Amino acid sequence: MSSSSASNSSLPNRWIIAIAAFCMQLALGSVYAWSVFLKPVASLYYHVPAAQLGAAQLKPTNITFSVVLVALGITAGFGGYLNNRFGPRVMATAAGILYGLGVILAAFAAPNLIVLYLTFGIIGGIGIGLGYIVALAMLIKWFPERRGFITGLAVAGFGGGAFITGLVAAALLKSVGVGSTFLYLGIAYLVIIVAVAQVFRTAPDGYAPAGWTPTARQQSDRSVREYTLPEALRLPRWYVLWLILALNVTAGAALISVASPLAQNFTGVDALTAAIMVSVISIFNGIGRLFWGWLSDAIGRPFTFLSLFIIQVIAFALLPSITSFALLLVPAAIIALCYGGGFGTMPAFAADFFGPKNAGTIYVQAGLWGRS
Amino acid sequence: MGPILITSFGAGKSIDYATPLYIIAVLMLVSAALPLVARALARRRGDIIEVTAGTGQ
Repeated sequence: MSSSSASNSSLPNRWIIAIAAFCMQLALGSVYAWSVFLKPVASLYYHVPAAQLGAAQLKPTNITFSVVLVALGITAGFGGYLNNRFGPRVMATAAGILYGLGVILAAFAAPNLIVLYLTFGIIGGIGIGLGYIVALAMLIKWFPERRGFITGLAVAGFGGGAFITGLVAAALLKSVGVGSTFLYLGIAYLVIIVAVAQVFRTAPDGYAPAGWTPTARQQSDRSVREYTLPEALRLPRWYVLWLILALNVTAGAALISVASPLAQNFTGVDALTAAIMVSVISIFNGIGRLFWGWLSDAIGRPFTFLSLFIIQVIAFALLPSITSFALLLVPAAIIALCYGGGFGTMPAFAADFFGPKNAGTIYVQAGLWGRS
Repeated sequence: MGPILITSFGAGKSIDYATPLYIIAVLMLVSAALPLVARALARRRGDIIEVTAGTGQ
């Protein structure tokens, strides 16, 4: 498919930009595999065998991840303004350098946890915040006719990164230890992100692919005005979007956080069998980001979230009455699909209601606080 | 909120998962109209204009 409008054939291929952004999201999303590092890092810093670790060691170590999330959220808050000023190539390059450097420096932080907070947490978190906002903001402008699908793809990439890194990091931690794992992964993140960032470009103002005109539904769901973050925060609709996302996250996170014990409690299976439900939830969480994002382009964002909520009403109401493990997987998978769907669709919802220019920043604020 | 809610019922080691699941179902039911409320708010302000197919707009 051609990405260039008929009047300007010098535009880059937007699908190459989308693939590059997806690769960057895979690298950035690796931070969500933090739980794989938790015990080995705590064990290294406190000189306690992994089997004997308790809250006294795990809690301070896990603060690293909280520091990442805070740094990510704060950076993404003003990252949109920097992106508008410097452009996605410069911003993503900076993101790759900072994230990679943060993880590389973490390799030399032991045994000082404060240094780990500063390197992996703050430097790395700033890098992720810059990169995350760039991918969403850039892709929304390049794909005005597929906002849902493309933001779903970007968010799915973030989730996919955690899945891949979880496997790679677990193997590396076992074979080369904590320090070398941070070092190798940090170099890989830096190289990958800086390389793919070089194809990033901002879409021209008002860009539309050749031959595309918005459908009546698309026009009916899209704001005719561009809002900045401060302006959006003064509108009741921003708080309604935040509430929608918060409710969807609350519902999905409730099930995800107790998937294994809940399955054991309801169906009497052992922990090993219950782990199957955890895997099923992870897979459908990822699929939901793409599926609902794609569907929202056809039925509109308001009806997508209406559907997400109604489907989950049925799934949550049925869950407690199920005593068969195989049957329990069905509503669990549906809830996970809807949970991922909320993340995949909300950036496009924000772009529809506040305009694409600052949608990335506006969504990240709703997304960040909606998760809390 | 979700992880806290789901573990907030029951006594001792016996956690009651059913009650919070029903609470979530009710919460989602009463909130189902929120996406349409958001759209109505945007339309009321004039940011989103109703367009019907075939109007050429």
